[in-house]
Amino acid sequence: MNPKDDSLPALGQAIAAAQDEGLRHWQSRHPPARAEFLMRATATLGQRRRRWRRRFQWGVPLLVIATVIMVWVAVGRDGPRPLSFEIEGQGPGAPQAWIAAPAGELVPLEFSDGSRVVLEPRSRARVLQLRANGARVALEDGAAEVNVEPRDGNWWIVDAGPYRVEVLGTAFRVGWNADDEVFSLALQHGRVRVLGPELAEPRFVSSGERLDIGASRVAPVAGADDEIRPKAALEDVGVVEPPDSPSRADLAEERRPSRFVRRGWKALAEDGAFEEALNAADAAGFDRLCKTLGADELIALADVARYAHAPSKARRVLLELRRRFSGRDEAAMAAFDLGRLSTSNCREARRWFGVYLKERPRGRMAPLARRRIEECSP
Amino acid sequence: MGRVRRYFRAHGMALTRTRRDPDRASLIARLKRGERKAQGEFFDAYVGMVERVLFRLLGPDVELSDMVQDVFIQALRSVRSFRGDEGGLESWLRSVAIRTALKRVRWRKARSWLGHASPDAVLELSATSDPVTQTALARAFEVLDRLPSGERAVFVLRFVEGMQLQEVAQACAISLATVKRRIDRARSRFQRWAQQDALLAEWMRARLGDES
Repeated sequence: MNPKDDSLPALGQAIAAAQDEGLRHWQSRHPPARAEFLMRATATLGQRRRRWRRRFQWGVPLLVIATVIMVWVAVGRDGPRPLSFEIEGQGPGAPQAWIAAPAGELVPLEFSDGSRVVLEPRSRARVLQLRANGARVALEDGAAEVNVEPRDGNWWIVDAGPYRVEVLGTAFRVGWNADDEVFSLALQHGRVRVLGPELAEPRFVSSGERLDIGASRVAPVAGADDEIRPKAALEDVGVVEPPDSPSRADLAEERRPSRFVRRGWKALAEDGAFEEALNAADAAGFDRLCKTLGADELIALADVARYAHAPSKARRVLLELRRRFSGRDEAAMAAFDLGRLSTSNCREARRWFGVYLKERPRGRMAPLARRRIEECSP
Repeated sequence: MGRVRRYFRAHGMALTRTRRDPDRASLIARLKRGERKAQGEFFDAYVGMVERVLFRLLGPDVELSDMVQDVFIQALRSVRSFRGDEGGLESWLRSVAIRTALKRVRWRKARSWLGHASPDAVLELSATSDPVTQTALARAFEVLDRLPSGERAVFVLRFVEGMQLQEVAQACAISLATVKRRIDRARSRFQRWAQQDALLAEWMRARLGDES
């Protein structure tokens, strides 16, 4: 007999009760750090206010001049009215209202500056904000073809899931598969800047280029799960495909699956494909990565090696991290991870957990490190 | 009323009528001005809610304390663009907490060495539950941890936190239709994987499946 469908609310309540118990236990050992928060707020926000105050103080006359110029420009043109847009076949669109493209149909949004956003079938989006010089569109799921009229001072942003595409006057196709959390971008003309998870810094994408980023998805388990993308998709790794130039006739009714083109080790690790991620790291030059990656990335690479059952490589990465970033938090964390790697050798484990405690006696992992030392004590 | 006033005056006490604290009502305006006292009040008023939301979505993460502060710092950074009234402040802050938690979920999936309930975290939860329940719930957490972050969020907010669908949509800044679709997929995946775990499936049948 299968668990009843309506048992989930009851399960949720059981989980909530267990979590509440755990939360009370946690709260009893972690009282709210009010004073620390206020200090941090003052340090973080106070600095910004002091910087603004200094700028404002010196910029008062400039601000007056700038205001005069802006008013002159606004009067000289047709006025700083925000853009408007129409949904083809439906009439004027309203900001914040969800727009859904049915199966088999495109839904074009025509903006008053001549720009155009076309939602592909089964896509969902909304226009978050309208300004005189552009708009901000959120693509919740699916794909859209975006054509922005090139103009000086354009402000056009497309949010695709957690990714932000800052448009610098261009035409492109952007996709966000919300179920599998995969981002895709193919640029036809112009240039965009992309920000978001998995990008340590903003990434510029130019004409003819594409960017595919696989975000978290369910880790595969023993036994088939037909809802997870078949492994065959990963066979595309290493194949560079020309950017799409979809015409209306080419657009399929089913949402296009994202194609993984030349996925890096990080994207593969994010998807739980640790062995493929380690292979990708090897292909990119494992030694070179050890010598060039930042501290955080080395921690992640060590985890990849560990989960790909390559503890010697994990150890190598962590030792390199300690050598290159000696004294930093990440180096201390590497000592802790070296202890975790040494579970079959208690003496070695004790040594590394001891190193962590020496370097970070009040670190976040200190209680756990002490416990592990006790467990390994003869 | 006159007699009461005379009584209090005679005994050297001031009769004050309970009135709404004006500082609380203007909390949002004071936060926007950057008042330190308002920041403290804001923290005191909502820290419990933020801790609960983060705990619901992440479990006892070793960086939970830091993340609670991150939520408030992020909220203070963007409070100037908040347009609602005091009644909407809590739901707005909850959205900030959920976004912070989901970023952490994605980061953890990349690291994959601290799940929703690491072996150490399970110990944290085992204070009073019976051993079978402890294990079953730990397995339930592991199944939750396998869901995509978007599905996990709606599943936890709906079934564990008990929010209504519209509230979940607003908290996650997604449409109601998407909430329903994600819940449907999350429910389907969860039930399928729970069935693959004999202990969890049996526990659910015994404790939850036959209550009627």
